[in-house]
Amino acid sequence: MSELKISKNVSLLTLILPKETVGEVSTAISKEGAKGIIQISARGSVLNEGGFLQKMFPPPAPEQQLLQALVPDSKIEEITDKAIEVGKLDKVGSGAVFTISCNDAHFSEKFPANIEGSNVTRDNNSTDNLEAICCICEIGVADDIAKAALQNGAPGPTVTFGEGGGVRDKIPLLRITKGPEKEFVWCVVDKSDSDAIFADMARAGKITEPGRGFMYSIPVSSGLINVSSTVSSSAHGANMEQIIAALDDLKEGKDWRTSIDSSKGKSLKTTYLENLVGIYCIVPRDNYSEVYDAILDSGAPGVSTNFGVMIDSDSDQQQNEEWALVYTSVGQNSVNDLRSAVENKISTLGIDRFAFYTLPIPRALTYLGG
Amino acid sequence: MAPEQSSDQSKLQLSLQQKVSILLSFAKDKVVEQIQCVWFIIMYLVVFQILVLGLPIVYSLMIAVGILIVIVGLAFFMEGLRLGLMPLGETLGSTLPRKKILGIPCLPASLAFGFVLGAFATFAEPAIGVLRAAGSGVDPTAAPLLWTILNTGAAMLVNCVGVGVGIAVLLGVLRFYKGWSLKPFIYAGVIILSCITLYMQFSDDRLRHVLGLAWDCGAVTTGPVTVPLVLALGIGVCRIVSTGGSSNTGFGVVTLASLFPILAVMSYANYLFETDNYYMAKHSTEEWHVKAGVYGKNYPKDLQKYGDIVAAERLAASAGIGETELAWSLSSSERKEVGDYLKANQKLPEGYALKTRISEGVIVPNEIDKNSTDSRENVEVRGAKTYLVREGFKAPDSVWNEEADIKEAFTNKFDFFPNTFKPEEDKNGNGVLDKGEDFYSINSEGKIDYSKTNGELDGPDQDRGALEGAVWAIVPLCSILLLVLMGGLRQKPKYLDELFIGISCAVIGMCLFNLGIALGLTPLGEQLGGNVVSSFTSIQPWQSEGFVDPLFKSSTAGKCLAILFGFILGYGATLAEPALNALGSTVEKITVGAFKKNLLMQAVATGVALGIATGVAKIAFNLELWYLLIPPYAFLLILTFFSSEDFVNFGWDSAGVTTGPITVPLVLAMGLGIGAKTGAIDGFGVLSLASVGPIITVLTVGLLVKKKKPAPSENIDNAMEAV
Repeated sequence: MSELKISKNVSLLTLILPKETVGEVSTAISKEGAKGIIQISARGSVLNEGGFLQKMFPPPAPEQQLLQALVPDSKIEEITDKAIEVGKLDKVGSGAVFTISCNDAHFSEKFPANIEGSNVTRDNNSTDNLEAICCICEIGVADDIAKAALQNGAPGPTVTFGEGGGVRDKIPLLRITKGPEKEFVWCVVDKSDSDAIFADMARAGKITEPGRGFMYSIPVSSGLINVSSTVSSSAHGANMEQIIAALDDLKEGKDWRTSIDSSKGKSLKTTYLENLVGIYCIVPRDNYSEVYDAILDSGAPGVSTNFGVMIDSDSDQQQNEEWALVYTSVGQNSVNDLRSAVENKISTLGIDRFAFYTLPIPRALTYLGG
Repeated sequence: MAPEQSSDQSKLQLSLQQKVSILLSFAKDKVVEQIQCVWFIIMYLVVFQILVLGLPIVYSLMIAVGILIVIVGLAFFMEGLRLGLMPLGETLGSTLPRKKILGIPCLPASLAFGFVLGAFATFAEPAIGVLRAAGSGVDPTAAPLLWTILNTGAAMLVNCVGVGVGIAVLLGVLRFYKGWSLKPFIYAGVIILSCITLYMQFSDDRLRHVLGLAWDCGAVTTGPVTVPLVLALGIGVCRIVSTGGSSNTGFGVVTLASLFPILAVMSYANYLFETDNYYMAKHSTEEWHVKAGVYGKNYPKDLQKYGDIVAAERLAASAGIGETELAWSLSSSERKEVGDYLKANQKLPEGYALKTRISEGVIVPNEIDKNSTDSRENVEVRGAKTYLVREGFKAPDSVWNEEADIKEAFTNKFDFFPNTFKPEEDKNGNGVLDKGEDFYSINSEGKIDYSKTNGELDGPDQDRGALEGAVWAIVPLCSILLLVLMGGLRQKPKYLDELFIGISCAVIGMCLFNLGIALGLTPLGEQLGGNVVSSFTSIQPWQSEGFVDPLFKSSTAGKCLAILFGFILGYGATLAEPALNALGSTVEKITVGAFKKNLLMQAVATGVALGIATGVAKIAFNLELWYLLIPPYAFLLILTFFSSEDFVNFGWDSAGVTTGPITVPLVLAMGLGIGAKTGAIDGFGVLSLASVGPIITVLTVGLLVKKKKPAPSENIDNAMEAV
């Protein structure tokens, strides 16, 4: 088994972009040195004022793409700046960019990422006071969760599709009664709001009930969030985000937003799982089911997977190269055991392109049994 | 100590009770889902029959049982699609472009595979039975070419459609590889088809009659198994090959598979016409026939003889007892009873009335006062005949049709091998082979034997039983896919056991579904379709004795009610279609939920409703088909030009999936019922109109919602000014 390159100075760069600008931005950031960019289809969320017609003919949500890439800390700022410049991300409703510092990342030789192995620990430079919330739920529930997030002021929750399981995969044939399809709701919020939003999303998705899903939050080191989230009539001169942004400007801050309904009790009476570590494994899609099983076999309680296309892969044909992002979260102590178990499995299977990275998860929520 | 999630290493052990409860709650969810799809159309049909038409539902118990079976069958079938057919199609699609089959490069291999799949799907789910039902009233004397294609040429018709669908799938796959837009295909297809339609409309009456059949072929070829499979395959292929700017997502194959069969049937009709290889209607006195001269010289002699027999039978049948005579008749015991009562009381007993029919229409005045010139007069009508009739009608009391044989409906005697040549054994067009209807058979040398005068059909027939139909539609296709996937591409699907459960579910579901339709939906649709005619004309209700008077005095008002009925019927039936549900879910999945299934389904259902209403109007008022087809398609070209690629793909694909096993029996029964009263030659055209409608509505909805999208790149400064 070849040695893995290990680096501790890596950040996960995530971009949420409308379909139109994905091409330009991805070429721009790959020119700046980002490699192994994975593109995942996503949809934005919109708030609709109810009404019969809206129910009969629900307007389509904006189609978006989620771009993720592992980028060395030395380059992260240039790449982020480039993405903002090319995607005009400082404009309202144009998308979002945020970076998350990884605990560490392990790469196989052939994994496309230009990251040098290094072991220098860096200081935590989380300055922007942002937090990413991710909620994995049964298909069809995401809209309720996204709505709860929107109503609490989270800008543009983004939804992706994927697969997930845990308990499901331990039941032999009866697993057909519960499909593996899951929805993932992502949103990046101010740390000050995040408790309320987290709790409300959990409540909307009934995450604490058995078999409903899993949600967690990750500290974001820097980010710029301008995702569009309302459908406005073209008759208005400005849309809602523009107005809110203008008010933010006038009030010199976002505090005015929270004052509106602070009376409501937002706390959720439940126990959070704390100080977990999220392990992400990037493998070609063809091999994902082996990795998925390996993770479950190594003792992880649940696994979820996002599928994406590596847009800057150097495949010779005019074809997409599909990758899977297999994710699980475990307590800090079992991280290394789990990773080495999965690594062993992967090397026996002969998969030569894969990467691991781990992210800190200060809190998570799911059904805990009992 | 922080709380931890439980993480059992071993497989979860469940007690039997837990297993059963998991399965039960799962099954309940699925059945409830289907009830939500089906309840509207069923309630509507029942309410309409009882409250609006004021007629009882005949065979009510059988219909109720049938509908229950349909619901359970649909639940199974949709699960089968989700677990078995669609994952299989998608896995295969995403593997095809990356690996070689037996050393053949991927592109040619994929294209060849696409052709085989398309052609095979047509033979597996032949829509020809539907078309034959629509054409069961075709008179060989009035429309010889159409009759030839539907009867002795039926085998070639299926082959033509199969080749058409095969080419369509091939082109569809090629389009994915090359990243071509669907629009040019649509422009070319519609313009070519419109030109041929106009040519056939105005060149010769014999060709004109075939138009309805050709356009309907496009609508019915894609069934509830083919559509999800082809969609899933396309999506799989596009996951791999649609790179960069291409917006191909896997849709569009169904569109092509609806356009090409039309072209194929038109070509076949023109070929037969040019080669004089069709039935010669010797005895027609129609104007077109006199002008046409001698034709049909290349038509086989024995088939010509067969046509003559059918024509003669039809002539004899039309000279027989009319429906009104029968409706106005009394049995001998009734006559006696009424006669006695009349003699004793000098008036009619309860429940009987006098009906008058006028044959001459000349009045004979009878002045009251002979001496005055301007006296009032009693006026008689010469040639008026008065009949004693029973008022109202007598519906059969039984709640179950004794003739319906469940076992036979299930298996049709396990006659597994279909024969696409189905002779016209069903002379009265009731869809069932009655005793004595079969007047010839196919002997062991494959020749047609006319010596039989009655008895059962010897040759293999094409009416498949419920189980047969299900097995035929699903098993061969899935076997081919599995064989190519595992043998040719050497790719093992992730969950083979799930796949097999899925395919079994699909077969069971399809089988129950077919059975339920035969027991429930077809009798319900037939009686309602026949009875709805009572809104504008006097009829004998389905399976009943006696007659009912028209609901409206004005025939136009009655026809308008029938059109309204068709509108709501189309809407409700479409929402229950399995293929459309599959398309809706696929669209939702592909757009990561951005386009809700509901948006597509409602838009399509409204479109089908409009289309069917137009189709009913066509039959009720005997309009020409091309008036109703060419302008909408011309309008569609404009809409297509302005629409986004996504909506063009969804919209045109939805046209192919609308006319499925729920809509067709309901609509067809009504079309034939109305057609018989208004003198239409055939019941064709409704289905093709039903597939134009949804394209228009989906594209329109697409243009409407596009406008609502916010412009992403507006500047904050502008917003500031606005504030």
